Amino acid sequence: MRLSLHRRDRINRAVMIGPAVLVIGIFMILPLGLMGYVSVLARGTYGQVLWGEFSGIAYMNILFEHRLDGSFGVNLDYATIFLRSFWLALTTMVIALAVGFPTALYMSLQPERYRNLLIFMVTIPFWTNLLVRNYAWILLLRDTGLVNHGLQWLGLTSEPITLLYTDFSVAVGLTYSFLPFMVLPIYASLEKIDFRLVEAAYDLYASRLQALRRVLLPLALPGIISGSLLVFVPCLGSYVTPALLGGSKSLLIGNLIQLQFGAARNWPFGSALAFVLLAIVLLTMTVYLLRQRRGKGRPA
Amino acid sequence: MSMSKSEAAGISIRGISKVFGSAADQVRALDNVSLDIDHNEFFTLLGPSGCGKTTLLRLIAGFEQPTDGEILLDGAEIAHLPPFQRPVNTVFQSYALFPHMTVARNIAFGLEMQGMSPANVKARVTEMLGLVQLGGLEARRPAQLSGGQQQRVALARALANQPKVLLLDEPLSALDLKLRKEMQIELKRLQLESGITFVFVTHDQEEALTMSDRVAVMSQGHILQVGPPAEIYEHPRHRFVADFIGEINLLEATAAAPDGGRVRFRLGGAQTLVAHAAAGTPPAGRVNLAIRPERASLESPGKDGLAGAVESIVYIGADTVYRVALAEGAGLFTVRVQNRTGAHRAYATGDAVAVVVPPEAIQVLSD
Repeated sequence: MRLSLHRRDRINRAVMIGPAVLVIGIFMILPLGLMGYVSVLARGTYGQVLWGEFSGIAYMNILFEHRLDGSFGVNLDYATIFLRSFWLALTTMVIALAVGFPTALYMSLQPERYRNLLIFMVTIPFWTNLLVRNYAWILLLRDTGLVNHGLQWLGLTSEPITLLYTDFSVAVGLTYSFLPFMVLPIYASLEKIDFRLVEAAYDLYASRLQALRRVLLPLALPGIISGSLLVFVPCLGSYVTPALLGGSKSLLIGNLIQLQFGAARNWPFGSALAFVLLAIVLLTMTVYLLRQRRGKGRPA
Repeated sequence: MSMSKSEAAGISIRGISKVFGSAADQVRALDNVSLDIDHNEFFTLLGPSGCGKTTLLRLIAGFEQPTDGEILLDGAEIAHLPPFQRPVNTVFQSYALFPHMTVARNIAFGLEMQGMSPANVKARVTEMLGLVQLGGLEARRPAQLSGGQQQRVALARALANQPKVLLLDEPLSALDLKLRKEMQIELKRLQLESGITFVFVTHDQEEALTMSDRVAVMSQGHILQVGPPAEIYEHPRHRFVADFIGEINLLEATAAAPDGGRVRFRLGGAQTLVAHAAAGTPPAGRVNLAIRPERASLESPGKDGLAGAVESIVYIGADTVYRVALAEGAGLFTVRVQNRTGAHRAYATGDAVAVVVPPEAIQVLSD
C-alpha cells in the first residue's frame, strides 16, 4: 500500500517535470552539446567542419594567431571585441538602471487603478518587431534625421552631428530595447514594499535621499539585481542592434560569432567564441551570487 | 485661563481643516478643529474609524499638510515642515519596522540620521533595549520577533530620539487581549518615566479611559468633547459621546422651567425625572437625557422613580444587568446592579419595579 503510494508519487513527479526536462534537453542541452563538440573540431581547407578530427585550434585562435612564417603570436583583436562588448553591455545596463528605477518608482507610487495601464504601456514596444524598431532609430539618428534637424532648428549646431553608426547609437538602441526588462522586475519588487516604511524613515529624520538609500534601495535590491542581469546578459550577446545601428566599423561578440557561422565559414571558431562568452557570463554570475550570499549573513 | 493654558501647551492646534480628494469628490476629514495638548500629557484621540483622528495625528507628524489652520509646537508653527524636521516621532499601527535591518539597526536609525556619533548611538540603543526589556534580541530581524516584541522595538525606535511628542497610531490593536493590557500599563510607565507628551489614537474606549490624562472624543471630523476620562464618562455633553463610551440609557424628555434649583423632565405619560438645575441645563423644551446603568437602582414599585417591569436579566459575574420596560411606552431602561449578595436576585423577569435615578446622575445632552 505504502509502496504503491510512493510509486504513484514518483509517476506524478515524472509527469509534472517531464515536459520541462524534455524542452530543456532538446532546445538547450542538445544544441549546446553539439556546439561544444563542433568547437573542438578541426576546420578543413574550404571551411568545412572535419567531423571526428579533434583540435584545440579554435580556442587557440581567440588569443593567438598562426603567422605566415609558421610561428604563433599574440592577437588581441578578439579580446578587444570581448572587452568592447562588455563595456557596451555594462553602459547599457547602467543607463537602463538610471532610467528604469525612477520609472518603476513612479509607477509603484501611482494609484492602483493606473498601475496596470502603466505596465501595459511599458510593454508596448514589444508589439513591434525588433528590426522595425531599430530601423526607426536609424531614421531618428541619421544626419538628416529628426534629432539632427531638431538640434539645427534650435541653433545648437550648424552641421549635423554624427550620431548613427557610433557606440552612442548602439547604446541608445540597446537601452531602448532592453529598458522594459529593467523596469518590470524593479517595479515588481517596489510594488511589494509597504510605503509606510518610507514614512517611518521620514519620521526618523531621514531626508528623501536618505530614505531612498537606506530603505527603498535595499528593499528593491532583488528587483534591481534581476533587472540588471536581464539587461546585461542579452546585451552582451546582442546581434541585431549593433549590426544595424553600429554600422560596419565596430564588431561586437554577437556579430563576430554570426560572422564565423556565415561569411567566414569557421564553425569551430564561432562555437569556441560562443562557449568562451558563456563561460565568462557564468563565472561572473557565480562570483556575484556567492558574494551576495556571503553578504546576507552580516547585519544590514 | 484658556489663554495661559494655550501658551503652556505642548501642541496647539488652531482651526485645522483637512480636505482630501478632488474638487468634485471632496472628503472633509477634519473641519476647523482646535485643540491644546499640554506638556507631559498622555492625550488620547478617541473615535470610530473615519472620524479624523488618524488624519489629525498624521498632520502633527507631518505626513499630511493641512488645508487650513495652524499647528504650533512650543509656540512655533510646524504645519508646513517636512516630517524629518519635526521633533516628533511616531509609533505606527503596523509598526513599520525596517525588515532588512536588525532590531539594533532599527532603533539606531533615527539617531544615525541625526548624525549622532557611533559610540553614542550604541550606548543609546543599549539603554533603549533595556527600557523596553528586549536586551539580547538586538541581532534579530523584525520577522523573527513576536507581535509584542515588534511593538516594543517600534516604541524603542521612536523614544530613542527623545522627541518632544510621541505619536501613537492604534499601536495596540494588533495584540491579543492579555498582551494589550500589559502594554497599556507599560505605555503609561514609559510616558511617566520619559516625561514625553504622548498623543495616542484609538477606537477602544477602555484603552482611552485607562491610560489617558485627557481624552478628545472625535466624530466626523469634529472634536465633540475634551476632558479627563472621568469627566468624559460621567458628564458626556453629546449624544454621540455618551453612546460611544460605555453603556448608557438615552431618554427623550421635555424639560419644564427650573424651579428652585431643580428641573423636572417629563418622559411621556406621567413618568417624570428630577435633576439638579445645573448651569448648562437648556431652557424648557425637548432634550435628551443620559443615565449610566450603574448609577440607577431598582426598588419595589411605588417608590419615587420610573415605573416599569423587568424584561430580561443578564448575569455577567461582578454585576447583573436588568432591562426594564418602562411603563406608558417610555422605552427600555438598563440598570446595572453589583452582585453584593452572590447569586441572590431581588427581582425576577416580569416583576414590577421602580427605577430610581438620583438627580446628580442625570446628564442633559446638548444635542
